[in-house]
Amino acid sequence: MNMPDAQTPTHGFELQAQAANFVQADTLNPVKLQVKDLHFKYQNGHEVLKGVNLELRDKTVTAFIGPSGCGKSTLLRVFNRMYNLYPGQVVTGEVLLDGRNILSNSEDLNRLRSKVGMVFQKPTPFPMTIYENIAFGIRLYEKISKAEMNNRVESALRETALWDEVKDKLHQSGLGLSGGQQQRLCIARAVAVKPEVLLLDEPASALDPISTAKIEDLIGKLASDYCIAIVTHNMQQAARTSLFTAFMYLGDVIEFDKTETIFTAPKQQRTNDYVTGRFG
Amino acid sequence: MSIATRRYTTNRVAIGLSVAAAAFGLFFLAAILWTLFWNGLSAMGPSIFLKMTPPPGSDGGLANAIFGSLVMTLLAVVIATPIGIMAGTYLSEYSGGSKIGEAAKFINDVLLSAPSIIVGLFIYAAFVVPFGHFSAWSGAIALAVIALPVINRTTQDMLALVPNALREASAALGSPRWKTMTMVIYRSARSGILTGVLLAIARVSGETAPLLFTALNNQYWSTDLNAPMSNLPVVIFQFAMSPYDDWQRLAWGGALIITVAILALNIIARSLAGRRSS
Amino acid sequence: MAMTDAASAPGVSPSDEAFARRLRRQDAIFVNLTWASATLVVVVLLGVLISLLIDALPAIRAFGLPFIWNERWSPAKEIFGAAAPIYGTLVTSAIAMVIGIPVSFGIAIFLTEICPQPLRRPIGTAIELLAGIPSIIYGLWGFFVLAPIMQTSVQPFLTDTLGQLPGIGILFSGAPYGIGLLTAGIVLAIMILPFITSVTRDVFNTVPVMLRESAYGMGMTTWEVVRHIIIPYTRLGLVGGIMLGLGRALGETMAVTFVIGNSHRIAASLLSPATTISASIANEFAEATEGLYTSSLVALGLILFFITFSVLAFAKWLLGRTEKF
Repeated sequence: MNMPDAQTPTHGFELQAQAANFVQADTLNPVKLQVKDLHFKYQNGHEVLKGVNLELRDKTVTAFIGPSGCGKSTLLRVFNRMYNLYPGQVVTGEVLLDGRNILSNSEDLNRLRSKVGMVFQKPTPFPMTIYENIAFGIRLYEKISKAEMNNRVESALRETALWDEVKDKLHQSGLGLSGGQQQRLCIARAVAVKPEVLLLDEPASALDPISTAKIEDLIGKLASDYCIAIVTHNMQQAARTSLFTAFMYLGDVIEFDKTETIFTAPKQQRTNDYVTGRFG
Repeated sequence: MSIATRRYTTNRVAIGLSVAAAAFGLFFLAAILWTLFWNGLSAMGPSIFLKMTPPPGSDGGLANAIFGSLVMTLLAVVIATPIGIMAGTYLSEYSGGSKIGEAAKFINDVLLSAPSIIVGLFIYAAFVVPFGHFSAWSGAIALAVIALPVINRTTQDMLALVPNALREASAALGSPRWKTMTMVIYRSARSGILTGVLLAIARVSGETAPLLFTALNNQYWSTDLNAPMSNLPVVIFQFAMSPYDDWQRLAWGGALIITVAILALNIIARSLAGRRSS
Repeated sequence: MAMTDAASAPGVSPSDEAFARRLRRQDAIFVNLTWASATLVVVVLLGVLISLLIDALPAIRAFGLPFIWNERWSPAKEIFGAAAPIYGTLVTSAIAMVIGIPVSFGIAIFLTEICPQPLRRPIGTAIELLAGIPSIIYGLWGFFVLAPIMQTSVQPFLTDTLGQLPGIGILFSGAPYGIGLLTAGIVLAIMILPFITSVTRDVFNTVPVMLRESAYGMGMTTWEVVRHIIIPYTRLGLVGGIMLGLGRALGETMAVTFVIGNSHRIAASLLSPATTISASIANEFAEATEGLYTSSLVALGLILFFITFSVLAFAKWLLGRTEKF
């Protein structure tokens, strides 16, 4: 098999490569989330994650790519222990958030999830007004005045570039927005509670190209404030948005490196095959 | 006769029979409604809503029976709605396909179509005998026992329609489960659950059998929940079986009132359900 | 979410910890409330069963198993047997099924395959609405409209025609009272008609459009599609729907009580007055003062409970199996 031609990267790769050039190894942000020998098994014995090791850096976007069923979404759902909503799953290993193991039995799941926000594949606006959608999460953990709440809602909507589009209809149902707007509302809702980590599970896969571009812009902006993990099927999207990329296959992390390296000079044959479209 | 001819003849005969069956069935259903409206409307007038149930041969209305039916139906719904919604929540959200949960769902379905007269016998044994008298309370509880499985079942069905993504999205914000349920999931299933409650009201407001030996009947205006209370279905039954013309006319009037009320409730419930699906 | 105390976790302030505990407590309260409500439903059913058993005990002790096949029902002599009401219940329900099933199927086939499109919704909706009308309305109509017609025209006609035939003639003999098994069966049939029709229509509509269209695409006639595609495909659901209808007919009180005649005698003729379990209870329970009389009526209720329970369980089992397909 041939190595990809590093001299003629696609347009998206080129942009990312240029951006990444500014980052030197010694200027990397500190590690926010560290995964050590993580195994995830269903009670019927099916093993979805087979000993994952990697770390996510603060204020950095890390992308997870790989064919369907490789375990990338499952990995994301371990970071906020979403899997605990359903019975019959066994998780071993460690996931350290700022050095604290969130897999321990004593971890308070509600509190954990308020620190590790998540946005899903399909927009999930709650059946309430746009304003209430955002205020809902804030009220769970903070008692603040009406004026302060207004400020928080506004700043969350500004942060997600949604403010100008919805400021006149804050008290209408969130279900009336377009798909792309709904997804940005969900991101606004997630950042409004001031999380430390943001998990994005294929956040643009149900959207049209223009909305997708807006979401990607947004991810770029949010990257300066949050530790972001994004799962995506779209390799250009991974290249455009992330600094690091993990390529996963059948429950293993095959390769984890700078995005630039993964897409231009992968060390593993499998990674090469995948990013060049030979399989998956 | 060729195969084609035979097939077409069979088809024509079968279609003819089907259309005839439809005409036959619809004719009887229409005949019942026509009789009901014809006889019922002749009993209508202000006095049916304003005057008490009369002794035979004198003028009167159904005011006390209408009031009693409203009171007992309302009480039944007030009792059954929170319990039914909570029970449906448990069976849909928390029992998670366990054997006990499935058994409880099955038991609810049995209760849903259990003969209502048996519910009457149960409430008679459990409430009327211990307290020593018939009462509006025991009538209301009998009706609540009939409404409960309806609301329980609809709540289960409606919660099952709420996508899991919404539960996860709420949990992802750090919301505890009870807040997810009360603030997000119930809201999402609101019109469906309301439909269930309306259908339960429609169901109990025409029930006669369970009231026969719980609320019994009362010739007079009574607001005492610990005493027998008049109600439309039992009055209709007693008046219709009597030999007196004016009692029979009142029975038809009462039947029309109940039917119109139930049809209205059903139509409102359906339009609610329709709005949800669109 | 079983969790141990989180006090040992580092990096958590005491106020955070108290807050988290409060959330967990609220969660526990909510779950327990819903659990209690679900349990209450089970308790109600057990309560029904136990209260019936307790109250039926004197009758069971006094008469034993022969209670079921003894026809004698004499409050004055305190001798009670359930044969007549059981017979009446089964026969009226059988008549209702014999009339109700073909007619309901006819209407359902008409609504899904034959009826002009613009009329389908209104007629379908009307039938569903009729399914919600209380049974006492059907009873009233049976008493005031159907029974007189039966007495003056239908029953004399049946006696003169079918009644003259050898063998089955006995079913249609005797004086025309108007009320009785046949009249009650007809009223029940009309009552369950909208119910079975709407269930049947719903199951018919579960046939995939593709399947139906490919059948028509092969040149099948409407009847052949119904006969060879729709009915086989929906078989279990249809039987389930019929069983649910039968459950209703067996337990129905008001539609029957008006027109059954309340006679504890088993007569061969379908035209003669009879009684059913629910009609006996409705008619006699309030007057029954003697312990054994009341107890015998409750024992009737217990028998009815077992009959309907088995029918419903069977229906549920069948309908549950269709959902998996």
